[in-house]
Amino acid sequence: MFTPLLGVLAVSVLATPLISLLGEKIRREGILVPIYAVSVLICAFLLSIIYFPGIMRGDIVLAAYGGPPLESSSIKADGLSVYMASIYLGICLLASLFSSRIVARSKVAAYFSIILGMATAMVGVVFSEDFFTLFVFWEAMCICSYTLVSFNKEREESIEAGYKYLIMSSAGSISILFALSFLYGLTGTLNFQSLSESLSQVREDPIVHIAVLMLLVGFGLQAGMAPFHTWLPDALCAAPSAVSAIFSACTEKTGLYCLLKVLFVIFNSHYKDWHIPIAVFAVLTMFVGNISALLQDDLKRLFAYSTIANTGYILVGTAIGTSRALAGSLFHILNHAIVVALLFLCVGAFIRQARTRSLREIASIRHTMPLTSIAFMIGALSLATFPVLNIFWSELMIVAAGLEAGIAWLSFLMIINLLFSAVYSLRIIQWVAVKRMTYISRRAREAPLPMVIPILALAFTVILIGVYPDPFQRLTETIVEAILYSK
Amino acid sequence: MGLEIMMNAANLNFIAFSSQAAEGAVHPLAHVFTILSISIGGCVIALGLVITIYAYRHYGTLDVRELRRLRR
Repeated sequence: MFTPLLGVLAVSVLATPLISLLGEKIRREGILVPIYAVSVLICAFLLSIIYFPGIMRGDIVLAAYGGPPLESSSIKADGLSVYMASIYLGICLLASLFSSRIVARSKVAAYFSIILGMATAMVGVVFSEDFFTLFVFWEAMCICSYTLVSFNKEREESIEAGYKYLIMSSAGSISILFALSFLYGLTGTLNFQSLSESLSQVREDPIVHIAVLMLLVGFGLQAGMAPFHTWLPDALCAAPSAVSAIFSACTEKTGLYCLLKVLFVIFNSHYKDWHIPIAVFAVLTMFVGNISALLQDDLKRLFAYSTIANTGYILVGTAIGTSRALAGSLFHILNHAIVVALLFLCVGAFIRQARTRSLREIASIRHTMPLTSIAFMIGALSLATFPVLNIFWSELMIVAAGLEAGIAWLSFLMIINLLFSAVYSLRIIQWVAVKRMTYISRRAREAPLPMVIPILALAFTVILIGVYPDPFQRLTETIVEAILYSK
Repeated sequence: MGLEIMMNAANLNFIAFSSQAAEGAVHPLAHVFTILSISIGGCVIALGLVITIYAYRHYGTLDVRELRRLRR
């Protein structure tokens, strides 16, 4: 069945209802299902880590099902996809460990089966080698995420956000579908490899440009690209915190992965025409995200906007388009996923313990929740581009690549934006560490162990990558070279 | 509800387009893809209707203009 990793995940998703039934029988559903979900994710994560030595040697796992390669549905695990898959699985693992104590017992089976389904769908998206498979997994991912956004169906906030997200995102999916039909009409195939070969012969056809634009809109919508970002803050606010972490660390990055795939694998030969529009989108995204984040009081909304800004940074790397910039983008995907997951999980702990997500109300909470607050401040410092923490290195790579490629204005705009993000991150630290305590923060207590462990693990990873960035940088460079020079 | 119907219409429109793209001889890929996208569209619409029902329960109306309490 598919590749081992995807097989394990798919089987485990299908087995989740059985486990919850078993849990009901022995009246331990609240414990059994989370343990099951976490252990499945641990297995999957370890499986994805096992792929890495092979990647460094340049191995590719390829499997096709149903007919000749042009029309079949095929799965391919190359460096980029395994890299993304292990990010997703790691974050999903920590987030589900985190939420094992939060979810109400009556909903626990539904919650964890949707999380597992979403992890499977995301891994499927990055493993698929043709648009047919990709679209199926993509929609599976979208359906899981609509459900997760409106998971707290008693609260009108989450229903409204879910509605908005559903309308916008399904419009995006329809636009992708439309583009796929164009591509199919042009080339008669949906396989990535043969698409890119046949598209390199098609020149000066307006339909190609329309198709790229529609793919850009569809995938960019999921990635939170600027004109289409409006669903994102609402959805991230309304979803449970662990889900917000998965959203901004994984689902969005799936959109970015698809953008990279479209621009650098499929439309490789047309990329030069799209260089400027992507740069414009990137600049717009950075500015919108950072300026909206500056004055937010709601922590979740603030990090949602900063997620948009970071999508902008990754797009800057994509717009520069040299191999060094792309490696920077990939590295930033990893770093930002870790940092934003850390921040959202900390906010989740604050919400659970202090029942608020307002920055003013948790002033000086470090006295009552020391571990969480320290991890939180590490995350915020990293977001502020503090040297020796992880985000610094990837942003440095992107900015340096822009200067190297002679696109200094883009690097310059990005540096201005880094200043903005430093401003709001330092403001967060000021509130959490220095301001006078409020009644709410005095009453809060340290979060329970299953919540603190993932937070500390993520904070440790932030510092680890910050101090030893070399192996990770080399890994991303290897992956990028494999993408760009494979043909 | 209007939005739902519009989404449905758009979905159908594109599905029709994607089947039209198979020129001349019957090409299995387009048909398989169309069937799959119809079923996926059905799933999404079902979920959308569920959310719509909950929205109705919370807001007492399906007027989209009423659904903007999140603006800040």
